[in-house]
Amino acid sequence: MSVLSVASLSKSFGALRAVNDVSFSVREGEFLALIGPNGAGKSTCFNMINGQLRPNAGEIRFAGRNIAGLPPRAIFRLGVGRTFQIAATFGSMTAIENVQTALISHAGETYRFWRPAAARHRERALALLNQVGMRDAALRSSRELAYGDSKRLEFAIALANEPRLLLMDEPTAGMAPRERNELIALVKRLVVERKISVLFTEHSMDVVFAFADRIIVMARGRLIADGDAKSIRENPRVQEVYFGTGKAFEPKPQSAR
Amino acid sequence: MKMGRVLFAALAGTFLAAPFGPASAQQSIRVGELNSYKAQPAFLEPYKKGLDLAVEEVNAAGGVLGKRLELVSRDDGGNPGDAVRVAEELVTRESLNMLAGTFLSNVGLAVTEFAGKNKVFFLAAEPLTDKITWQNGNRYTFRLRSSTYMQVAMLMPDIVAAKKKRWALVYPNFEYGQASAAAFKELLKSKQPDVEFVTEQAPPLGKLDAGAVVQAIDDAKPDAIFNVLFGPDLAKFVREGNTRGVFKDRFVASQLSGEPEYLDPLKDEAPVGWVVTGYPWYAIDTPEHKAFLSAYQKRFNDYPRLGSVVGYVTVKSLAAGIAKAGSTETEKLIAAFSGLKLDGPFGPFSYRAIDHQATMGAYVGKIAVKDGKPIMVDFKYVDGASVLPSDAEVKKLRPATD
Amino acid sequence: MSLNSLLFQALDGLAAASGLFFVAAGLSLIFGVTRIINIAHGSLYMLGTYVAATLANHIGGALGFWGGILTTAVLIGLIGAVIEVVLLRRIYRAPELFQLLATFALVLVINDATLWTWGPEDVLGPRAPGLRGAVEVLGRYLPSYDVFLIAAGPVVLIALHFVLIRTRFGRLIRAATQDREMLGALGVNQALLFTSVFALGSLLSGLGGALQIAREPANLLMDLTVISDAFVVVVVGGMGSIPGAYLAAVVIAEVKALCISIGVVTIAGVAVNVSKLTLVAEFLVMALVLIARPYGLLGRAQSMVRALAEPEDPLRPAGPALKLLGAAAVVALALLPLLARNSPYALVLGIDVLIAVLFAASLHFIMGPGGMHSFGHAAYFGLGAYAAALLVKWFALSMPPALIAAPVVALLGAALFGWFAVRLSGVYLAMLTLAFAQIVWSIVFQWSEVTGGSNGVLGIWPTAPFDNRAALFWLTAALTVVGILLLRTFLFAPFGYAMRAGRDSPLRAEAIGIDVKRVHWIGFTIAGAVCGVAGGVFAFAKGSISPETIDVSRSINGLVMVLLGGIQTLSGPIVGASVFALLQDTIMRQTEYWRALLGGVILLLVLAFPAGIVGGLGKLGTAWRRRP
Repeated sequence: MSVLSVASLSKSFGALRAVNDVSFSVREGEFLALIGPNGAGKSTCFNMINGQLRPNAGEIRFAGRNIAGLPPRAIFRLGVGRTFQIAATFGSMTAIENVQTALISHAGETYRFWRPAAARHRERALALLNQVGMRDAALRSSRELAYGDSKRLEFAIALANEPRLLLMDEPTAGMAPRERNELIALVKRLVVERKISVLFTEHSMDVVFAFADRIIVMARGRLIADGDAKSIRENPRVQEVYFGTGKAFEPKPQSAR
Repeated sequence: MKMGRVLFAALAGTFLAAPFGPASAQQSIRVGELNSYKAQPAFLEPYKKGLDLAVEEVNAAGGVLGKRLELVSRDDGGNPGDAVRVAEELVTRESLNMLAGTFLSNVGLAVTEFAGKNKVFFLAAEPLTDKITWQNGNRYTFRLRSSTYMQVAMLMPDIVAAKKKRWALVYPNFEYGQASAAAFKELLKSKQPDVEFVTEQAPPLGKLDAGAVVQAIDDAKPDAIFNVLFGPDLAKFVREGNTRGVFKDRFVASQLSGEPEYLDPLKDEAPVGWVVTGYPWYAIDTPEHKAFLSAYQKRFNDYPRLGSVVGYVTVKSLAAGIAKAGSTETEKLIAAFSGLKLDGPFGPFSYRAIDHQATMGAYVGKIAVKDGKPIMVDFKYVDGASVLPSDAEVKKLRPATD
Repeated sequence: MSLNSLLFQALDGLAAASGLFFVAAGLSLIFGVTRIINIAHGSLYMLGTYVAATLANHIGGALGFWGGILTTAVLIGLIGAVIEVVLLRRIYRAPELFQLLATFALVLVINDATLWTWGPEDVLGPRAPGLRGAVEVLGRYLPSYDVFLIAAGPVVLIALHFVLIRTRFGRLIRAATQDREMLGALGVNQALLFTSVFALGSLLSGLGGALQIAREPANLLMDLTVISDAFVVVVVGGMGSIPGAYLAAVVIAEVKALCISIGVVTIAGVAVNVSKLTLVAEFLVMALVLIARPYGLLGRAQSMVRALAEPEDPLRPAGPALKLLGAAAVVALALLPLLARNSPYALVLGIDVLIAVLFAASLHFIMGPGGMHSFGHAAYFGLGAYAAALLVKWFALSMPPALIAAPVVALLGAALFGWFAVRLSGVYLAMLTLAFAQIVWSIVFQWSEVTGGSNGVLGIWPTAPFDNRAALFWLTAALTVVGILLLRTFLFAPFGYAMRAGRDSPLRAEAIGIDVKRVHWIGFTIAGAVCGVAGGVFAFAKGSISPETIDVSRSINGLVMVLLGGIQTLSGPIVGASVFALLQDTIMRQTEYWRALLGGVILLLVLAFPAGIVGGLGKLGTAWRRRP
């Protein structure tokens, strides 16, 4: 059974057809990678699913409902968690407050004016931080965290609404290779435990081939391939697209941001 | 950070001491004076000089009731909120029961209201709004300067004599301008029922779009113009109107434009022939004025502006009132000021018992340019008493009982 | 009104537009590159007028006039450079908007310095040599100087455009305006760029001022008139867009010229003087433009600028020391009327300080944790004050119901205006709030029959049992303490966290289900209501109110108080408002040049405490604890 199914999704910016008739689905418990060279339309596609962009045409069905055109906050409410390419946390809060804020929102308590936020969902927030290995940093200001830790914190935030689907935009961007593998291993372990489906985009082919259950490939706005690591690696069109743009399937050195 | 610590200590020291300072001993008769010195310096710097001169003269002549007269001057911040606090400071911290001063109408009214509520004597020096002595008048408040209504009425004989049918009005868009325009229309209509008001321009104070306004007036093809603009707006208006030939062959009556504060900056471009109210200090030939003029010039090495006269007469009025009352008690002061007669640089005048308005008048004349400098010519003094409405009308306008 | 007269008025509008454009272009450049809200820009303009008028009058002739104008422009440019190097450069790393405080102080200092140098009388410059006359157009006379100005605007526009497009300096300016981080990556000497842009902007302002000498006398009120016009033009055009500034200047000047040329019209039997609309025309235009185009006519959405300053620390609930201090303050307030039996002025001043504190705290609520920099917070103060006063005046309500009505009316106003304002961000939000405040102000100012016009409403005195100073003080203190505690509670509650979340990272906040606009809208409305309480108390404390309660200067004072105390701390607005109110009271009483002194003290505070007084003291405290 699929958690998310995208059908004939299209988006144009002026004359540019950024996403052109794209269809795919994410199955229950699946770890699905969306890859493609720069300008392939990954981000546009991703941003339509998370609600930041409104598609021109097509359907995005999540949990049996068309979510195309809904704002991000509504999609969150339906049970979709999300991480950003550049970790986005609330800089003026501690790590635990970041998670608490998400838990409060999930519990529908945003418009409460009396009992302090710090006293709400504390145990649950600590448990989440513990799961991402951040319990000791709970009281640290989130802006002081190392980049890798911010990513972990963001992951904890994304788990706060007990999502059925997690959207991760380049989860390892800007991280050193070792950190990168650790983070993805952690993500994978937790989502498997919780039977969460994941759709992620990724530049690092290492990560993709090592962890993804299935891979879909976009180029020039269209979906060109769909399969497991082996079949994608051997797919001539994929190879052409990547070699054509001068990108190889070797892990390229990532500069730290 | 070191500087921070020092500063903080200094600030803390100042503040802790500030509101609790002791009032000084009563060796002298002290009057609280507040005005918008920073907001309206063009009028109020000469005013301050007038105050100082008069205080020196009063004290040189032995003071009042055998004591020195002393002014406790404050800036009122140019707005009613601050002004009321300053008034309260003068009354509570300095323990004064006499206030004087103010320039802006809204500040004057707020202090009038304050004086009425707190039973403090208040002599409004400059604010022109009719409401200070009429609609919002109270028994504790007197006013020196001729009101808006009086200023308009002083010009009226010349306006009626000009026999112009189509009038354009231009006035700053706030109470003074609006009230002047209303009084002008009402008075002129009653004297000349067939008059037509072809356009009215009410630019925001200090933000005149001179070109457009002058042109709009010209396009309305009036025979005559009634102007209430003053200060920088007046200078802009005059220069633009001269360049565009808008004042050519048109009768212009203009309020306050003969006051040196507003006339002198125009220099040789001053609009010749305008009928204005003002203060021709260079040509007033009365002994009272000559005495004032020479004393002022000797003291400050500068010529007086109208503000100087207002400041000077304010203090002279206070001295005369206190002397007549024989006391500084509020009730006695009120009684003394009601009908108080005295001589100012413009000659004798009095504070009317009926509405607490002083009858000090103004000069009405025509603008001319002599040796590159603007002056008033063919002027005459118009006594304030002669332009006030009948007692019956005043009683209707003034709900206050006293 | 004929077609010819309308066309001719359009020419008048173009001449006025050029004047607006010069000063706005400089402001736009400075803001675009440095992100400083430079309210001293108008002061440099004023200075330019004085210097040029003086040169023209003393040297005389074409050399004195035209040479004087160029000399003035260069001189004002140099002064701008000095201000940037000596003052602003030291505080670029302060929390955002803090530089506004420094430029506010400069406004005060420059105004008094001008008064000291030139005296109080207006200085009228000569007419322009060679352009004294008028040319006949459409059967009317257009001053030759206006013809010159009509041409000068586009010439300067094209010249600036050329500089921005073709030169390396121009490319750097554009890069800095669009993406400051990229600029850093390019290895540009940022200090030099900032200084030169500040000098160029100031030069344009000085030029604009100098060119006015043929049209209006130099006077001490120009600084504030010009700065508000200039900001409106810059924002309507789109921050950082020079062609936008010209377009906006033309639109605004033409709207005004049209209002003036229409004059009095009769609509349904009622004579309406349209020329009175010039009071608020530019703000109406600005509100409409910003509602339709959130980044101005030709502006573009600005890239998120990562602030140079450190973001604030997490909120900590009051520790024992702070709780003790707070309790001591409350006790002191309760006892003050008893202690101050012999100095009743302490209560008078105390009421003013408390009102300022509540005003500033409510502004801080949206400015700090909400990240919404309202430049028109006085609107809600004024709505509260007028609601109370008018109910007393027209419906003879007694004090308690009037005081309840004050926050309700302010709340409604804030809900209405906030709904539009929260759709914008940054300086556009700030200017839209200012536009709304000016619209409220002009309605109150103009609707004399109801509001008393410029004179205001008189005779609003407290009724028993609050009709003595002690009781009124207690009431004010109680309302202020309750107001502050409420705001504080909200900030620590989920709502406050949501508001900060929306400020820190709108994307992340939306992604965890927070409706950022709605949260900010509610925050805006709460702040308006609390501010309305301050306004209501103010009306009763003063006995009379006038449109000055809604004036820009009150809004600016609010900003100054918040920034002075420290925008990143919750006690900042309390300390800032107290210090500012007491400082103003003390200094006003003690010196003739009080404005310059007040400005000087603020400058010292700015340099000593770049994080505000409370922020600075916090750092002192940290340093103290960490000493070896």
